[in-house]
Amino acid sequence: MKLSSLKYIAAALLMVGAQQTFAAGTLSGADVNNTATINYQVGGVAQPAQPSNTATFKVDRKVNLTVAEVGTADTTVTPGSTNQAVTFTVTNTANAALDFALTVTQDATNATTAHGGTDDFDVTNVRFFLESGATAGFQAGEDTQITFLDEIAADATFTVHVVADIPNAQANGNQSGLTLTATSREAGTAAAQGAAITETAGADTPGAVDTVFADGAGDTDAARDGAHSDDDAFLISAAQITAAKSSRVISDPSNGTTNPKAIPGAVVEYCIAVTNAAGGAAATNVTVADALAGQPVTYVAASITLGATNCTATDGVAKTDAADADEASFAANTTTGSFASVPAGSTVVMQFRVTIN
Amino acid sequence: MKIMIMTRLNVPKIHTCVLAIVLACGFGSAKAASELRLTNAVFQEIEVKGEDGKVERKTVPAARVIPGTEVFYVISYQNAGDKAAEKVAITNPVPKDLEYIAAIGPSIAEEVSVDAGKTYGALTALTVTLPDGNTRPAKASDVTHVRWKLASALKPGDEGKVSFRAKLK
Repeated sequence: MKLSSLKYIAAALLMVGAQQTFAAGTLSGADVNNTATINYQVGGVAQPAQPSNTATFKVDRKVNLTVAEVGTADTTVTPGSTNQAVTFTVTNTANAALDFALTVTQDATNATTAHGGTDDFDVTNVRFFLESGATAGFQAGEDTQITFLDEIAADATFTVHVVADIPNAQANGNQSGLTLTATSREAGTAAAQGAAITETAGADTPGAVDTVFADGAGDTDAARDGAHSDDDAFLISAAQITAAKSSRVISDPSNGTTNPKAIPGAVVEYCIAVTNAAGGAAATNVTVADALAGQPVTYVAASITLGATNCTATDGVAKTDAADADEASFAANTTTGSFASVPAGSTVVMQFRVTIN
Repeated sequence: MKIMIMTRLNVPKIHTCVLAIVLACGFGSAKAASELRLTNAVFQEIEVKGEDGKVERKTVPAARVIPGTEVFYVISYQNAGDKAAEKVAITNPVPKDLEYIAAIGPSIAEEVSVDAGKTYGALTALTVTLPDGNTRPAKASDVTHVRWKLASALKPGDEGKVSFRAKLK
């Protein structure tokens, strides 16, 4: 049973092999042979069929390739981040194996970038990585750094990450545009970038494989130049954090909670609201600390709450004063609270109470 | 050329092939009374820029052919014998790397096959059976063989040409 099914699979594979056709077309160097046959009768008697000679031609090499950005949007990055990637596919649509040289050109300042907007800065430390396929997207530990694409078979597509570092001190919305150009090279020997390819000039060489460029125009290259290009851009999306501190009197020894006044002995609630402006990146691991030293106030034990809707709300979650896993603590006369993430366009709140000395 | 055919065939078929060649050789050496000659040639059209800058289309033997290039075959036949040949049929299997486009020339109507030469007819009359058992009208790209049948006998010395266009896959 097992053996016969194996045989079946083998037969199916053979069939696939026999019928394999390439989107890029018949492989270069193949001879296409054609023979006709004539059948006839003489005096009502069938005569042996006569074959013609074989008409033949050799398939020449069509050099063609496509570079295409993966995705349709800028890659958002934060200033100072390293190993950021924009990703492209490079497809060999030639009917022969080729190497592809890779080059990156950064947009000139104020040039229009891939998805609208204008170029503001250049990235640094630009490298190429070949996607391993293990995990989608650029993974420094998995993908292989390359300087060119080696021995790419006809019809094969490879994913190339253009990886760069982002300079510091870039404002939200700043863009760095760049263009990846792949240029056809002879496949040559493995692990070495092949020689430049030129179109066969002049008349055809019968019986030899001539080279014809058939590529379209890319973003920055011309049609039929053996190269193709596409652009993409990095977009700065930094978190923009602001903090506001406010206070309100909760009670005083004379009035209680009715119209309390800020007199000695009164309980005052401080509120620190941390806002991440809209349009930027989420801020992570945001820590808020408020030192009470030097102020004429005394911290009310176990009064820290985190996550209230706003500064007058009372729906914050109470936290202990110990430096433990509950994201808030009071030590050395300083209150501290931390937030795992503050998404763009949102505000987080820490509240705590003191008594006026 | 016959040896070439032999080497292309699978081992189990060699036996019948050898038999066929022996028969063919026998007739050849006996010099058949009526001998038809068939020649096959392949051409392509190229654009040539003349000295005046005008682009002209020119027919040349097919040499610069890349996927997508159109070529055309011209099959010439001649009766070199001394007896009339009747029921003359010229058959040309379309090479597997080529996609049939159409026959050229109105002189002789062509028949085509989309089932490896089993049945022939006008392309519009043929259908292709799909994997699910349904059928669809045949397209030019389905054509596997093209055949021309001469309506009248080919007298000694008579000759003619048939032709078809195809595109390299």
